[in-house]
Amino acid sequence: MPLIKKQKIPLLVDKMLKKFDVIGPVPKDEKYVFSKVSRGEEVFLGYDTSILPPKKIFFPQEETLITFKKDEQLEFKPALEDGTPSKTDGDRKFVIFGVHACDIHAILTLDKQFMEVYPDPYYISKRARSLIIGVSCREPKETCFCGIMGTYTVEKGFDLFLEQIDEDEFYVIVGSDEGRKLLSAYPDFFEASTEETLEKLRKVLKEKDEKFADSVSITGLPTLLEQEFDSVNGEIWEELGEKCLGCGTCCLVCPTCFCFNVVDKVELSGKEGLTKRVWDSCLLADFAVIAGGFNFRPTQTSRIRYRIYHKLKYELERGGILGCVGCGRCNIACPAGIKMQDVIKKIKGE
Amino acid sequence: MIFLVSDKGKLKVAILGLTCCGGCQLEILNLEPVLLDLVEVIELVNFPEAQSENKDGPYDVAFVEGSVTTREEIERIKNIRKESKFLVALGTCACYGGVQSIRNFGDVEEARKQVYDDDGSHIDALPATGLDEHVNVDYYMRGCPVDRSEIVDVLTSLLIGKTPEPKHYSVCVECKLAEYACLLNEGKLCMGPVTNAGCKARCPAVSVPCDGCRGPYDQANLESFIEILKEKKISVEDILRKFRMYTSWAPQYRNLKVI
Ligand code: SF4
Ligand code: SF4
Ligand code: SF4
Ligand code: SF4
Ligand code: SF4
Repeated sequence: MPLIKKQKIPLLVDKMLKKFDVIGPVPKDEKYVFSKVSRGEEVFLGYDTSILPPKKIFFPQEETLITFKKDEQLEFKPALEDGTPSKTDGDRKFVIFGVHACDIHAILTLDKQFMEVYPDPYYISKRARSLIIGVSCREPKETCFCGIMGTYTVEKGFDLFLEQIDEDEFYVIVGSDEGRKLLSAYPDFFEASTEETLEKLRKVLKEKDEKFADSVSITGLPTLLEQEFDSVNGEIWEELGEKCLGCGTCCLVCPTCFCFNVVDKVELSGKEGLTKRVWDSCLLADFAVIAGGFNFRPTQTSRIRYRIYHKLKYELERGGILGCVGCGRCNIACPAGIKMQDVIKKIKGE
Repeated sequence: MIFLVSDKGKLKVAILGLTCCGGCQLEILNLEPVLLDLVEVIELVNFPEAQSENKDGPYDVAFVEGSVTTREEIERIKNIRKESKFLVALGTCACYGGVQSIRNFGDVEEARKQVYDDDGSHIDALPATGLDEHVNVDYYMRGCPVDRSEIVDVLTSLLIGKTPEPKHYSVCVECKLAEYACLLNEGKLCMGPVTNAGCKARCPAVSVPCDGCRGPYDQANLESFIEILKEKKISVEDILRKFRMYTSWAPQYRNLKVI
């Protein structure tokens, strides 16, 4: 397996930009966001986390699904390409450079949802044009709990993964044929690893287990949650419901949340318009409102309980995919200071 | 929802003002880019701020800005209501009483003296309230000022025979969708979590905390929000001042206990 020196990465990105669009973490208001770059040095691989996850690239906050027009008769047109990062460049592929391990796990969760459970042409069209280059985290942030969720390492879901083995070297793990092709397309940027680098890699991975792993695990969570639903620790939900502001932020920043609302927007003329989908959140008051105004989850307590169940029970049971990857974004963003790992620990009685 | 217009007819619209700065009507005039399309589908029957020839009702839709602050205005809004099939409270003043409702918390007589000296006796001043203290309102268009796109959205909905759907969530949603960094989490007093969405988080967009100009959203958790602000060491005075700023007379805020 090869190796890449840190100072060569911006140059590699510059080269890639000739062929691909590149989207990477860039600074914004003292935080980071995934954004299209025009120069390699814009990509900041030392980022801690991004406000919104890379999910927005395949499943944008707002996406036109259909446009319609009424002249003589009503005409519908699917708007497949709308909102894709490289709309102006036709079918250009794009590289997402610098995705953390937890977010790669999250993309696998979304793949399951949007490619298997409910195949979604809008998602698939963008996903099919993407290449993912992961990058390792050297230290977990205080808000991360990938250690609990077991997501600080990743074995698939990327084309290349850069595991940092010291200040200025990354060990390159190949995850797909596309990844292999990248290596041979840009041979000048990589070098062969030596016995010494392999030794470093082993050491780094071992240290990682020590730094990241948590004594708490998610084993048994679904069963425990089964018992918690109404009583046992019913006060957990009451307490959370009283604190929660219902701002929806936790779902909106979550890399695995996939709920959306579908709305029509008609032009003033009444002759044309579009149907779009917009991210939704089960913590918003009208998420479970049905025709006639009945709300299946009328209280904040019922809504926050539902979110936790969806993340930690329903998704796991439904084919073993993770509903939460421990990325910590909800912990950082929640104005009420509600922390997913605290909830997990409480349910587990730790 | 009743269809307000027939296929060929235009929507008969009135745009009227009570006590306020006139900023929301200005937003309608600022609709310039779509103004021509607008007059294709609506007839401005009564719009004193923009045209010289105006007629009284009946109207299909009346947009009324401003708070009700005098006896005369109570009569006016009652008449407008009678003449309109669909009444829109245009802007925060019409929805809640607006900035001027802060005077409802003091002595009106005292305020009158302060502003007009001793010749204020002819000024008829009631507490400043939203329209709905006196009449039924069909749609609350919040904001100081309102967001132009909402005016168009509401008219479009009415034109195609749909009830305009207000948003039932907070500014935080729009703030996060736009991927702005959270100011509240930086310790600033941002009213986003309790404030009704619809402005596309106009203030956080330029790194200014939300002042709550759109008023509380219907399920705002005020108790928890105030607790959070206190935990951030924001003073009770500052908290109260923020709640008193734009929509102090909103039913949820009127008797708010901060301590
Ligand atoms: S629930 Fe929170 S920690 Fe888990 S994946 Fe979503 S944002 Fe990350
Ligand atoms: S139900 Fe809630 S937690 Fe689950 S994916 Fe949807 S928004 Fe996220
Ligand atoms: S981010 Fe926090 S306060 Fe907002 S809805 Fe989620 S749990 Fe509730
Ligand atoms: S900045 Fe204000 S509006 Fe935006 S998420 Fe934070 S609290 Fe909500
Ligand atoms: S962010 Fe708040 S203060 Fe600013 S326009 Fe929106 S509601 Fe009004």
